[in-house]
Amino acid sequence: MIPVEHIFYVSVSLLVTGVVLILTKRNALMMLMGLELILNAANLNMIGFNQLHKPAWDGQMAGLFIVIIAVCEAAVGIAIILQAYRHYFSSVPDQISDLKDPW
Amino acid sequence: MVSTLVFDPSLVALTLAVILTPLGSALICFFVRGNRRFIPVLACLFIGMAGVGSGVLMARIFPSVAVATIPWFSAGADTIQVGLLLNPYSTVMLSVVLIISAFVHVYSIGYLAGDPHTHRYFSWLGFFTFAMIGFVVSSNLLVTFCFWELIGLSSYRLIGHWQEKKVAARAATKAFMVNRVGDLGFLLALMMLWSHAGTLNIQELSQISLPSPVSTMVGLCLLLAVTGKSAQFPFFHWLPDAMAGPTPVSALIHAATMVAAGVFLLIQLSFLFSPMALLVTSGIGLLTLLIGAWGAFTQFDLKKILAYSTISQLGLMVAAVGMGNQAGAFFHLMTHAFFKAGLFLTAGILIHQFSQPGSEPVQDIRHMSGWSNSNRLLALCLLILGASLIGVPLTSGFLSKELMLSHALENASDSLEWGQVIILILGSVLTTAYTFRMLFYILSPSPDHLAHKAPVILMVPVILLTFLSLFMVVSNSPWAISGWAGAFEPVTPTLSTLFISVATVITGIVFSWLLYKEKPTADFSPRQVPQFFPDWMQQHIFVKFTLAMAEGSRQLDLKWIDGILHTITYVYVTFSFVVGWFDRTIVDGTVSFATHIVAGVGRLFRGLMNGKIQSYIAWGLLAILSLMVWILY
Amino acid sequence: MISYLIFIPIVSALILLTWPVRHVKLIRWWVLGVSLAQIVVLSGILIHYDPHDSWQYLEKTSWFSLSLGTWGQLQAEYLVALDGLSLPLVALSVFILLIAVISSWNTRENEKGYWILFLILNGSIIGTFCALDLLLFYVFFEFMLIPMYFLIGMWGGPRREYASIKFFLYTLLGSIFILIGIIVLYLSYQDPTQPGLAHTFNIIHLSNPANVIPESWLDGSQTDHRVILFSILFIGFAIKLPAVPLHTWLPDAHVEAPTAISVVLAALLLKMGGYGLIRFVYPALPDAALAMNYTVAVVGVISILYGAINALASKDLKRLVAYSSVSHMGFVLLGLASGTSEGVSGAIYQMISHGLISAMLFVLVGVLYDRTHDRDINHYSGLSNRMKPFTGFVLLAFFASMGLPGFSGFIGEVLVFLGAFRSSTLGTLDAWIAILATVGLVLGAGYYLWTLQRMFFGPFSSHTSAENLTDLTTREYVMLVPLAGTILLLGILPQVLMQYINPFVQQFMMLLAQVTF
Repeated sequence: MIPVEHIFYVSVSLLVTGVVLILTKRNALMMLMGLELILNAANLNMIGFNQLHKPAWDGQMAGLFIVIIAVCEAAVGIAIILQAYRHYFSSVPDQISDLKDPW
Repeated sequence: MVSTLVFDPSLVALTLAVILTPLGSALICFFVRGNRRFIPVLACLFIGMAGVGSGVLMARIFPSVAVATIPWFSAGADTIQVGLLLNPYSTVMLSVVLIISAFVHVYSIGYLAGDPHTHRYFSWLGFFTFAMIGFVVSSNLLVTFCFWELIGLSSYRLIGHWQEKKVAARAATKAFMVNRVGDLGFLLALMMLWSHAGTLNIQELSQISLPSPVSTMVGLCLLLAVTGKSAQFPFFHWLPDAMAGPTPVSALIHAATMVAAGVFLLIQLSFLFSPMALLVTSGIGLLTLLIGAWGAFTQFDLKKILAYSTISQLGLMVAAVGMGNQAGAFFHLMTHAFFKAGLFLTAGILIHQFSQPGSEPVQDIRHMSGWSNSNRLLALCLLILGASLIGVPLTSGFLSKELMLSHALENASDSLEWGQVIILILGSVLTTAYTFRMLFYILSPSPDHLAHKAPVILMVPVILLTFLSLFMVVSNSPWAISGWAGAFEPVTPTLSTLFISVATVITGIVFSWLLYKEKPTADFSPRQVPQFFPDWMQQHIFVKFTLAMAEGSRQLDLKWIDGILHTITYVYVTFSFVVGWFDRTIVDGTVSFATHIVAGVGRLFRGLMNGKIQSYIAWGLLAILSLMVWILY
Repeated sequence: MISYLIFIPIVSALILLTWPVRHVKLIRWWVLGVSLAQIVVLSGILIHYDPHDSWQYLEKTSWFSLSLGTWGQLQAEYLVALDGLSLPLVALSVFILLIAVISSWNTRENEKGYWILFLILNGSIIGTFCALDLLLFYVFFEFMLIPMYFLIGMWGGPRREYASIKFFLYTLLGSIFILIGIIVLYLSYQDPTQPGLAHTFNIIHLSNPANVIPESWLDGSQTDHRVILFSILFIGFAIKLPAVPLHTWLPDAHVEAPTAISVVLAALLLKMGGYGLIRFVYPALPDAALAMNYTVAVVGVISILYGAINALASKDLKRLVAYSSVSHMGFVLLGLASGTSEGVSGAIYQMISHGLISAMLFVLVGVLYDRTHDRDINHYSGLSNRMKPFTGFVLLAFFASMGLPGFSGFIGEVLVFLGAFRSSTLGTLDAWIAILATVGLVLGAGYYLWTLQRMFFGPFSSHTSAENLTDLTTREYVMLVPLAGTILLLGILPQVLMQYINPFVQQFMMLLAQVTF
């Protein structure tokens, strides 16, 4: 069996990478990718920690749910980005700051 | 022996009429504008009537005493009375003043014929007469003082009659100022009498005896008043300058009446003087006698000679009072009034003759000779008047001098009093000398002849006064006082005094003739002018000192007193600025600082909302992480 | 009746506020009418006035009365009356204010404002002299300052702003001292009709030592306190009098004020200082007054001499007259401090006389100033050659001011001298004080005669063109002749005024005799 710590390290790395992507990327689509990575990291976490709960299959069930939700959310996200692009002509999140406090 | 007469209403009315008539003349002359020519004549008529009235009074009242008073005003519990006191001295003096004033009025009609301001002149002349007789008959010393000052005012206006001339204005100011200093003395005496005796009524005062230090002080203060008014040492320097006024004014005021007012006061109030004060009085009088005589020697201006002569004779009178001889002093006052007024009026005629209209009057005796041939009557009058001044027998002046000399000789016991006698004799010699000097100059034959005679209107008063300078007016006998004047109980002269008087006259004549004869055409006069000392003192010391003090105190007021005020104001305003700064910067500053902090904090938090979704996510993440850390630890 | 005197001018002032400016010429006549109405009312008062009675024409209403719970009651009344001291002063005020109206007849700038302020001044002055309630007195006293400030500051000479603010602040400072005194007096006295409950501002009650609240700050045994209070009140009134060295507002205010205002200032406002002292300071604090008599007399003598010496140094004619006012008011202080009945009568007589004489002097200065706007003495010589009647009046005024007998000034001054010297034999003062005061007479003669000699006698010359120097107009005669006549009347027949003053002085001396508490 793969020890849980190793799965944990990989998922944490994926999480961190994903957060960094969200925080620093200038393109919204890249932010979505980061978001996917975070989701996948959470997914991996779920499946990995399932080892500790044999013989229940809850973790892997959750993993399936997460994949489906990730797909839906990615589709909606891209749709929002496309609409936003149509409106603001840019997919850079920094440039979409209409709610900025105008001082 | 004087007894008190009951003053019945008719006499009171007559006295009041006599007093108020000159005032009426003054008011009419001042306010009536119309025909100018008859006003002087009207004035003379008024004074003449008053003179007649005073004669009637003298006949009815003399030699008793009559008193009448009414209340004037009351202050608190005391009432000041105003009233009439007609004792022998004041009754006679009343007539003397009115006679001389009447003569001067008549004379002035001629003398000031072309003057454009005669109405003012005659009104002040009348006012002066009113003030003088009011002074003479007043029964309350406060009222006496009032009239005393009014006399001074009239003198001021009369000396300065020709007010376009600076000389006259200055002389008038000087006269009034010196008189005012003397008035201080009178006022101080009044204050002392009020405090110590409680009354200012002359009759009441004569019943009270004052303690010796008080009476000495009162005497000295009154003496100060007398020195101011009667031109005694050291306050005599105003009188020669007062000759800048018209000559009739000099005759009336500065020979016969106003300057005599001081002596008169002294005579009336000598009962208030302590022996010490009387001694000082006689000392001052004798000193003035000599200084005045010396001054007359040094002058060439005719009027100034007569002025100094007046000063000297007044000194003689004052000395007589100081020696206790009131009767003698009063007699000399009376005779001196007549012959000095006569001398002044004569001088006026001469000046009038010699001066050209429009230019400065000629008053120098070196240039006033050569008229005696065409004006023999005038020359005779001049001689008689001069003789009366000297004290030649058969004149009234002789009698009054005799009285004073005999009194002094009779009472001479110790060396001091013998010294007084010697000075008296010396004074007489000098009087003779300067008078003859003047006569020699004026009456000397000279090639320049003045052909025209003097106008009648100017001559008449002179002739009358000359007549009054003969012995007949005063007494029935040329050698001693008898007749009406005997009521004064004067001392009877002895043969030795007769001898001494004649001897002084001869000595004086010889002395001056010798001096004159040696240098017939040149002038002789000692160098120094005795006016010098007090006048110099006044000009350079007192006046300069007072002006310097005035300027000093003005600076004090502006720089120091006001300066303190300004400094306080500056300090206060600066303090307000400081407080204002404090208020703006610190107190208000604290409030604004608080505001700035709040704004700063707000600005800080506003910065969070930058509309960038990634920063929002970052902050949210930070928050969750810190929450987790906080929960776990 | 008195309220008519006070309120006719004030009500008129309020009515005039609504007057349209285009009818400005009528305002003068209205004001003249007000003054004449005051004279009529005054004549009515005089006819029925009995000199031997005490307070007459008394009017009393309650002004305000607040209950302060356990602290008692705060009350003040509208109480006015006339007696031997205030009647002559009120008569003087009405007369002088009429003269001032005639004197300012030719004011053209801001006429409406001028006359309104003048009317307010008029009412306040008369109110001050009549008020017998301390608070009312103080209100009227202060009320005068505001119109004066504007009248000097707007219609005055070149340095008017400086002069008016100096006058205002300086006299206001004096008023503060007086206010402190009033408050202390108020708190230490009780209303005899409500003992223990209410204090009183009533001056009549304040003169009665029985009304002092026991154990209060001014209790009879606390002589030190009473002396302190006397000093405070004295300083306040001395500023108004004015006494040296608190006098420096006077020369500037007088010189810069317009002629009519100078007349009012000299003749009336200065008398308030003396009036206040006599009315309530001396009667309420007789023992303190006795202790301080020497100091007050010395201040008086210093004022006499200092004012006279400074007058000698003045080059401006109006400044000379202003300093002579300082000198004359010194006599008032000296007379008061003498503590004798003739001294006090002399002081009051001197107040009235000085009011008349200084009014005449300022009118005469105004005559010259109106023509040439030049008051420098050295710029003129020989004016008597061109302006004879003017010279005549000037001679009269100058000699009256230097205390020549026959004029009212002499009576006042000689009574003060007699009183001051007698007080030295009684032990209150020293003889040198009275002697020094007489020197003031010589100094007075000095500066006046010198001015006459420089300005009026001698040959004629002047720095301005000679055509301006016309003689007196009818309006000026109308002002000068009554003044001269009154001065002569009061000098020759002093009993005319003394009959009113004497009963008051006798009562005053009895009040002062209550020295022991």
